[in-house]
Amino acid sequence: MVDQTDNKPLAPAPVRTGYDIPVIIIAAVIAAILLGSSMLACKGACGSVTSLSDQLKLGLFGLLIAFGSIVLALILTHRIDLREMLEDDNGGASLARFQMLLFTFVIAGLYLTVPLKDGALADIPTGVLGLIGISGGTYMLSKGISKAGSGNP
Amino acid sequence: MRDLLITMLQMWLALLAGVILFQLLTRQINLVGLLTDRNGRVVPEKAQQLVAALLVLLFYLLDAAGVVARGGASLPEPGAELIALLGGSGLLSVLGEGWRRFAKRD
Repeated sequence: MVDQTDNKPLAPAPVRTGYDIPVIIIAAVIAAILLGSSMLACKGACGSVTSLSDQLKLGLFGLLIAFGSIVLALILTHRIDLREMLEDDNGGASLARFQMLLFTFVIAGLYLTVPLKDGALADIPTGVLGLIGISGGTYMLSKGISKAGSGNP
Repeated sequence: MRDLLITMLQMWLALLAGVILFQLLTRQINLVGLLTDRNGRVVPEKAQQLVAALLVLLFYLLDAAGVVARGGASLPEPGAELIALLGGSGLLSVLGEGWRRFAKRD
């Protein structure tokens, strides 16, 4: 990342080591919120855990929740820094990245919402794959041009 | 069990989207230069690409909302015109960027 005012490169963030108690606490709170709100949304119709297979699923499910909560906690505490998420190599925001971000969230959100009616994941239509492909392809081409352009004298 | 997992994934995605939206609105995520070139001038092909992408998303969301309301169990197929609009605007933007970087330099 480049400082826009005087074009000096910013100092790298200090590397943190060891356990980070606030992150663990925030992650636990997020996991509790996720679990509680999902149970409320299910209104008791989430199904019961009876077989060994269900218990295994529950274990993997717990790992997934823990991982997702830790990622969110790290973002909230700025350990995962999103400042440069949309920036290209020149330090300015990239429209292609922004477009990819929008498409990823909208399509992922829809994918999780629509098939919930039957409780099963559905196929992704080829047209949707086309939209994602065009969005990603535009980003790749844009990055290629940006790299080739900066390499020229 | 599967319903709980999907509901939780929805919640997680919504939280992540909320955090990113908050950081975008409070300018913690840099959006400077999204529609402009290095000199700060607005680039028309970037503006049209943003408008086209938002239009495509809006029309597709409306389409999907109709499917959900009717109780459908799969994502709707986007129309060919939406794919053509997104592809065309992306191509125009890429060609414009190439033009600005290479042709104008000669």
